[in-house]
Amino acid sequence: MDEAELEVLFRQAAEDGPEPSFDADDVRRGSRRVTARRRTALAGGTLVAAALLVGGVGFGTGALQPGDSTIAEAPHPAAQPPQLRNPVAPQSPMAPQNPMALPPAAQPEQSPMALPQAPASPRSGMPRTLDDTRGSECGAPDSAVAGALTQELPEAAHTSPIGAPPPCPAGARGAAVTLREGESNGKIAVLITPPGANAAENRPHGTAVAQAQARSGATITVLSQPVGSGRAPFAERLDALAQRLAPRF
Amino acid sequence: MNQREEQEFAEYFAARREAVRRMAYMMCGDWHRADDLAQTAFISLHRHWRKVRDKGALDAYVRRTLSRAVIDESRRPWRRERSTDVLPDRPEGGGSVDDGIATRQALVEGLRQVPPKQRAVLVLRFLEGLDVAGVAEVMKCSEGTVKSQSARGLEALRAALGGQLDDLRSTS
Repeated sequence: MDEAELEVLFRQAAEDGPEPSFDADDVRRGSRRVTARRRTALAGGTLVAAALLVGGVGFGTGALQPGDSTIAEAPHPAAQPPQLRNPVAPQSPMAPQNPMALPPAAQPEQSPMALPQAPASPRSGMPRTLDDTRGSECGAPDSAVAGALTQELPEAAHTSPIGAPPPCPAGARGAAVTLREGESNGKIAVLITPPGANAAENRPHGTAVAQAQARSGATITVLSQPVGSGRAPFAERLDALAQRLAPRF
Repeated sequence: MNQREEQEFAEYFAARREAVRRMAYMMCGDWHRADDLAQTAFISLHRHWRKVRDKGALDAYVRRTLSRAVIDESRRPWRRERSTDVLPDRPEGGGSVDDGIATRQALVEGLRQVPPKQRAVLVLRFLEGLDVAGVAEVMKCSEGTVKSQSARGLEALRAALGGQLDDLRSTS
């Protein structure tokens, strides 16, 4: 078999795939989520750096004494500083690399001189509480939850775990996979939340949910969130899945 | 991104989504994972759209992002692939259509047993049709490295497929 034949074989092998499970809107939403997550991480890192810097200078010069009521204030959140408008991704493919080298491990973008962003707040503007599930991003998939999900749901064994779909209560950890069952397509997610927090609320119409109490007292929420107006995949198996996951957490 | 840039991205996405999905599928062997990987690559492109302007650079950016995502993912504990000595059974039945499907399935399964970096090189060469220099540009390595990875990848594919396909002659 020569190169030309191999090319034909490769192209034929990749034909007749299923319908795509994402569109341009999904990409735009994902892009906004990643950008928001990195800004929050940068704000957190910058605040810590600023506090350490001020505290260290204060004690070093004697400006701050034990019992002093002066509190170093974080700079007032300003508009996005120029260096954050086009953040360089930690794994930017455009950066020079050693031959076949691994891309650098993902690190939050740090800039000690950058002004911190205002902390992310729910859309309603109300103070964030344990029960506030509106607009909260879920972050990267939790490795333990992802591992349990891919072990307990055979169809997920060869998938790539992703972050659970929002909203996520404070203190929640989770993971999700994108799966297809017949004509149904959607995300199967597992969320572990502290007692009192409910990850089943404010889900899109058509989402199937099952819950169980974990051994630790946390709540396990398993949900199937369909893409578009279709049926939630594996909806009838969520109860059993939640029960099998409960002893693991 | 402004409206014009969003429109440019939408046009590029529409034109390349299927090709990127197919590339991801051949790199990972599973359509669900392929969609996740492809979506992640497009998200990365969308976030860095202003930095990547030239059409040729767009394709290289997406290919590079995808290749690295596949290689990175292969190292995560819950994604560690296990090679098997026995390939899945070929479907019963004769006829050229069944044989064609079986051949394609055998190729995809065989590719999954090729180490991730070598697999990425093979896909870039034989699915995307890149020459050695093109693959080197995407993978950010030397052309010599591409040639050696390509040769080793074909060797691994040959070993994985046994006699299921005609012998794969070593190509440079």
